[in-house]
Amino acid sequence: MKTRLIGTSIGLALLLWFNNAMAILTIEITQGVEKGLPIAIVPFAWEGANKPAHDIAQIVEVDLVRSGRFTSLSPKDFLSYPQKDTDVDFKDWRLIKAEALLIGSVRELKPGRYQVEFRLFDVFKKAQLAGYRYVVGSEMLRAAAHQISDIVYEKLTGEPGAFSTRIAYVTKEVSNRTHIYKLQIADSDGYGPVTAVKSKEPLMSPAWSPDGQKLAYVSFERKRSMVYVQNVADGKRQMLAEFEGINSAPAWSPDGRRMALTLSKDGNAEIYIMELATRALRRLTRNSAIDTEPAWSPDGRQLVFTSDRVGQPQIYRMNADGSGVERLTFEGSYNARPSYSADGKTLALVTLQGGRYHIGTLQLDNLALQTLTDTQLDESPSFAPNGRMLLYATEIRGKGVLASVSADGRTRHTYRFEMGEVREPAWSPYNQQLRYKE
Amino acid sequence: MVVTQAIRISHDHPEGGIKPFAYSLAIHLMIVALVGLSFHWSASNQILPQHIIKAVIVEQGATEPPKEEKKTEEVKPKEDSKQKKIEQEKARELEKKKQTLAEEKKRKALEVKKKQEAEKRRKQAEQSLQEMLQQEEAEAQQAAKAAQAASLVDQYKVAIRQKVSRNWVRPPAARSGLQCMVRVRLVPSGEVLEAKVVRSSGDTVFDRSVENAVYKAAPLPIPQDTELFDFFREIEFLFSPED
Repeated sequence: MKTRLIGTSIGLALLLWFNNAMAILTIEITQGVEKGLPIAIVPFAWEGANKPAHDIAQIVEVDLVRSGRFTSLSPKDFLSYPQKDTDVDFKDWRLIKAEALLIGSVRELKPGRYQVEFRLFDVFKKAQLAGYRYVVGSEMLRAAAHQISDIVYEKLTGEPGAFSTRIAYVTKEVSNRTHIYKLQIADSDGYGPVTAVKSKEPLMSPAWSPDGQKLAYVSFERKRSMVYVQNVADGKRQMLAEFEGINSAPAWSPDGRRMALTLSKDGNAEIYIMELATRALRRLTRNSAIDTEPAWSPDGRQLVFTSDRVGQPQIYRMNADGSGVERLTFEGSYNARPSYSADGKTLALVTLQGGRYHIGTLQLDNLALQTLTDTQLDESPSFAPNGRMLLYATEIRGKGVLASVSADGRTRHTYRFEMGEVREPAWSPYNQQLRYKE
Repeated sequence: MVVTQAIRISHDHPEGGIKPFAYSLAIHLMIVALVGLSFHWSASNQILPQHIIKAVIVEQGATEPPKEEKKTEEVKPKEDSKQKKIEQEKARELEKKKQTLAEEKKRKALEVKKKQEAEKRRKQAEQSLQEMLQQEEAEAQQAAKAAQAASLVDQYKVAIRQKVSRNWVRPPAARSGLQCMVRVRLVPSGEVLEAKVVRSSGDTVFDRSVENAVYKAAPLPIPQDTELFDFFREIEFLFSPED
């Protein structure tokens, strides 16, 4: 009897043990893959007589892939080509392991007027994440496409997209043994450049106002450097700095009311701040070395700049009143052209590594320097307003070209331009041009 | 990386193992004691009949003298009172003999009964020992099976972890410190019936990436053995990015 009792208790203990063993298994995942989110972009359906020149789905695809955050699945692998939400069979997309599905259509309402519609789906949740309809003229089709890219990007990454932005850059062409410099403004993908300024003398350092409505730049059109400010919309411009000596490196304060400049009117290149309303100047640096390339922190309280006060260019930071100067870069013999990311945590810069000029980032919390590019003569980096990409210029086969790199350095993209050399790019802030309705 | 729950499971193993072990030890001691006791009993039972037998021999020896008396009777037939006395004695002895015979019979019966009882007890003890051994063996088999299962489960866990990791497109916003727990129901083919966030990271994109990773990893490498599959019918993934 006793043994049986004990036997029972053993059985019970065993049962308990098994029950514990049967508790839900937990598997911890600490590593993932560092690649783009797989998205299937189905060519948009078309209804109408005159097919528009722009392929919306393709523009969206190029945008998303260039960001480095997406991998676009090849339409050759698609099992179906849904055009309406009712056509979507999620199984087809699960099979090819798409995490997101974008479908849409373009309908011609009347010549030159289109209705663009799209829907974004979460394939595994079988749920629509976004769906919008636009009515636009043919001239706004690309803008609509970039807007779609922004929405897709934001829905899938949780961060705002920066596709509906513009870039400014300077081109140099040679014709009839004379140089032609142009300050160009284009869509973020480099499409549709519009010439803002044209000159036979060099143009340099375009800088966007915080509202994206104006550009400051340096022009040598009068044989010496001068700083101008120009409206993007109507091309009207005004002279901002024509002091004796160097007038260069304009940088708007985040509130748009002040401009930091490099002037040598007092004998040496120093950094000044100009109140735009009164043109009053305030000198920030007093140093026998060259101090230049100022850039504002997003909160407007500090500036970073390049100085060769230790005999080689390095990056420094100071308060907006010129106090509290501190050196930020210590690695390598050349670090220059700093600019802030929108969150103020990172600087983009040009760094000399192994005899080559590369684009790098400096984390301001620990001053860690990361090189993002492996090309040479990389210059003029600027962050996209969402901080996820950088635009810069580089040289390929002796010719200056535009390029972009994701902030983690993984994805690089070179812009194709037909004419001349490209230099001095600057990425615009956000702008909202297009209204859309659900 | 060893999984927290897995650690808990493997910690349960020795914990759950000690108790039954203690029990089985106690039982074994009991069995040994029991068996020893029953041997003791049967030993005294065996000694007892020997005594009885000896006693019987003594009494047989006691019956022999009357034969000598008979001889004496033949030698001295005329001694009447003597004869009477002898006869009386004879009768008494007969009576005594009968009595001892009966007693002997009784004792023998008792002896047989005791023997049988001892046998019965021994058989019982043997049987319970046998039962215990069988139970013990079953238990050992179960433990071995469980251990084997545990190691198999671990192997499958590694395979599953690898497949899900390969399919997890980690968003840049997935900093270390963010955590998301997904409960997943599986069918025996390894297909995901349902993946549900049971503990959100607070970041929609992170949570979605995690669910998608599980769905994309399907079919998951799970055991074909139905008993083993039970471990995987419902599992949890703790997504905890490391830099």
